[in-house]
Order: sequence, then C-alpha cells, then structure tokens
Amino acid sequence: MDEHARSHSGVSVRGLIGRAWPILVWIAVWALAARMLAQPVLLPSPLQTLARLAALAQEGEFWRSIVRSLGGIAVGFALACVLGVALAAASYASTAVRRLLAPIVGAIKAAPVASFIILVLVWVSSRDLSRVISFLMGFPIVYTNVLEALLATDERMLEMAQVFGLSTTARIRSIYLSQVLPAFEAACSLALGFCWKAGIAAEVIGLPDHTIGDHLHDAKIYLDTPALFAWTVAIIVLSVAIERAVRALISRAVDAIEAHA
Amino acid sequence: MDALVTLHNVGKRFGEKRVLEDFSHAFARDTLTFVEGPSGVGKTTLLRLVCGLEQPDEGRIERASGLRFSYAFQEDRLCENLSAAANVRLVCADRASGLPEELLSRLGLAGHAAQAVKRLSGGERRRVALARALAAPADVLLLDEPLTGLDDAAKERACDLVAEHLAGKAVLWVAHGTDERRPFSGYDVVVVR
Repeated sequence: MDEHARSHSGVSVRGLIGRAWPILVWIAVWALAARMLAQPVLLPSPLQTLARLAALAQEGEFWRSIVRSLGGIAVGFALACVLGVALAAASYASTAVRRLLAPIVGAIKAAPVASFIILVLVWVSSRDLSRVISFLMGFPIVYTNVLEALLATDERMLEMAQVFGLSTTARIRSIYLSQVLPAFEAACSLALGFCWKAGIAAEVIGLPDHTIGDHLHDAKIYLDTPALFAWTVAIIVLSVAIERAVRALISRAVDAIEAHA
Repeated sequence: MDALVTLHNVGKRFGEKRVLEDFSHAFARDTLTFVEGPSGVGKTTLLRLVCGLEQPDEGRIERASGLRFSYAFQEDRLCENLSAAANVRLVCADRASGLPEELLSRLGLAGHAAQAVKRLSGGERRRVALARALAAPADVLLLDEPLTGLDDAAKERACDLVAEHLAGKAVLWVAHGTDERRPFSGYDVVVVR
C-alpha cells in the first residue's frame, strides 16, 4: 500500500512526462504521416479524428451504443468470472469433473474467435452475440487460473486443517481464499481485455443495432475513415478506463474479503 | 491407565530409508512423553503416525474413538494472511472467547495479536503456532520442537503454559535435547528414543 501511494505521488510531474512522451511521439508520427499522405479517407490526422470524436460524443446514439456494447460484454465477463470460479472449485474437488471439462476448455482456448462468432450466430440472435462471445473468451482464463491456484495449495496447510478438524468454511477462508484471490485478480485483468476485444469483434460480424461494432462496420462501408478512427480511439480509451475501474473494484473486494477472513 | 493411541510393532519407511522399526508404545491421558533421538530417526514421523497423517508400512495403530488432535508443527504452518489472534481463533471451540489473546499474551505476544503473521519474526511465529496448538480442544497434543528459535525467557513462559495444559491430554513432545525435559521433572514424563 505504501509503495502504491509512493508511486502515485511520484507520478506528479516527472512520472507524467515519462508516461506521456512516448504517446506524444507516436501521435506526432501519425500527424506527420497524415500530412504527407494528405488523404483523410486513407489516414485522417489526429485533429480530424479528435474533431470527429467530439462530434460523435454530442450525439445520443454514441453514448447509447457504448452503454449497449458495454452492458453486453459486462454480462459475459461477469458470467465468465462466476462460472469460471464455480467450475474451477468443482474441478478441484472432483477429478471426474476436471476430466469432463478439460476437452471443452481446451477446445474453447484453441478455436479461433471468428469460428465461435459465426457458430454462435447460428444459435443465438445477434443482440446476445457479444455476451456469449465475451463469456467464451473470459471463462477459460478464469477457470484455468483459479484451478491452477487451487491445485497449487500447500499440502502442509491442508494437513494442518485436517488435524485441527477445520470446517469447510474455515478451510475456504483461511487457506483457499489467500491462495485463489491473487490468481483470480490476475485472471480478471487478463480476461477483461480479451472479453472487450472479442465482444467488439463479435459486434462487427454480428451487427447488432446500436452497438460500437455496428458503427465500426458502418464507418468502413461508407469509407468514413475519421469515424472509424474516432470509434477506435473511443474503444481504446474505454478499454483502459474499464480495466482500471474493474481492477480497482476487484482489488477492493479482495482486500475486503481478506480483512473479514 | 487407558491408552488413547497405541502403536503395535509399527514400522515406516520412505523409499529405501527405514525411519521406524518394530515400534510399540501406548500414549495415555495425563502423560507427557518426550520423543528424543538424533536427526532423521523418525521423531516427526512418529507424531504424524499418531495423528493419522501417515499410515504405517508394518504393524498397526489403535486410536480411541472420537479423538481430537492438536499439533504444533515443526514448520509452524500458519495462515500467512491472517493475524496472530485469527490464526489461534481458527481452532478455538468458542470463536468469541478471549482465549487467543490470553494465550498470545502469556507467550509475550500481547502487542502482536492483531498483526499479520507474515510480518512476525521466526520466534514470534513459533509462539503463535504453540498458542494455536494449546487453544484447540484436544485429547492428544503433539508438539514438534516447540521451543525452536525462542530465547530463554520465552522458553520458560512456553513451558509454564504447556504445563497448565497437560491435564486430561496425552502430550507428545519432540525435543532437541534433555534440557527441554527439565521444567517438567515433577510430571509423569516418558522418554521415547
């Protein structure tokens, strides 16, 4: 915590410059390339992109689309977390469950996301596509990380629990929670990025109305490259913001759980 | 005297290494048994056999029904993210009692009860492990080198506290040397080598 606080105070000026200069350099390269090319339909400048983004932000449709896309992906991500943890616990408790799930989890991990998107479109409506796809991207990450953490539980601590006759609840709170929470936190952070990207990709293919993916597709069809760039910038900004927010939320939840353990 | 745990001609080996051979002994209530011997002779294995963490390769072990065990493990085995008091409270019959704080205080850890054990020194952790072993309701108390890493004053406090918890229990104490037996000269002490 102290280290965290120090790093925050250290960000002040030098830290901010240290973080900002590489971004500014790449924006300058982008601006230079756009100026040299002088064809906004191929490469709009940063200012043109920003202007388009500002114009989009004044439309209700922009925010509606963001909320709809975010909502769908968040539902898939939450489901991936809940089912990932629950099934990892079941797999830890039962070798049969672990063996039963192994081929499914392996297949989900190995299959290209585009295959899933097309396959899922056959079964569900395009409105639900991003939910299912973000679940499919997040679930194996959460499941695998949590299961690996559980399997790495210190045998000596389990012996301690056995000798003292600790209840299942006491075992979970005193041994398993501290084992699983760091892995769960890391898995959520990783899964969130995958869910977000795969969810948007699913929207671009499935074209559900009033979503970010739908607008990306429209921008491509109408050769509205500044809009394409503006939506992409919005996606990147949202991705960073959501990841930070969810990480902070999970970190707080983990601290609260540990404090009450 | 009724035996709580009886070992009949017990033998145990790990691969090629034999650590116990034809060992027989009955551990009864209200006895304090010191287990002594050189390193690798099977002292810890004996404690593990008694509480069922190991199974014998030869012979058999009889245990009275419904036995409750408590154990101060050689490696402490504390829950790192929990406080010293929470580690002790984990095994208490009455979670609301002040027993953890009392035991920790008696062992010189009054100021450390609320501290996470991961922040404690080796000697402090050892005392938390001992407090936990004494806090658990038990018929058989297993102490594996409980005084390791303690200074003389802490050792004396620990021995006094163990002495108060002997009644009604079969206590097995793996000791480094005969010095650890001295404070218990007035008790029914059995030495197993």
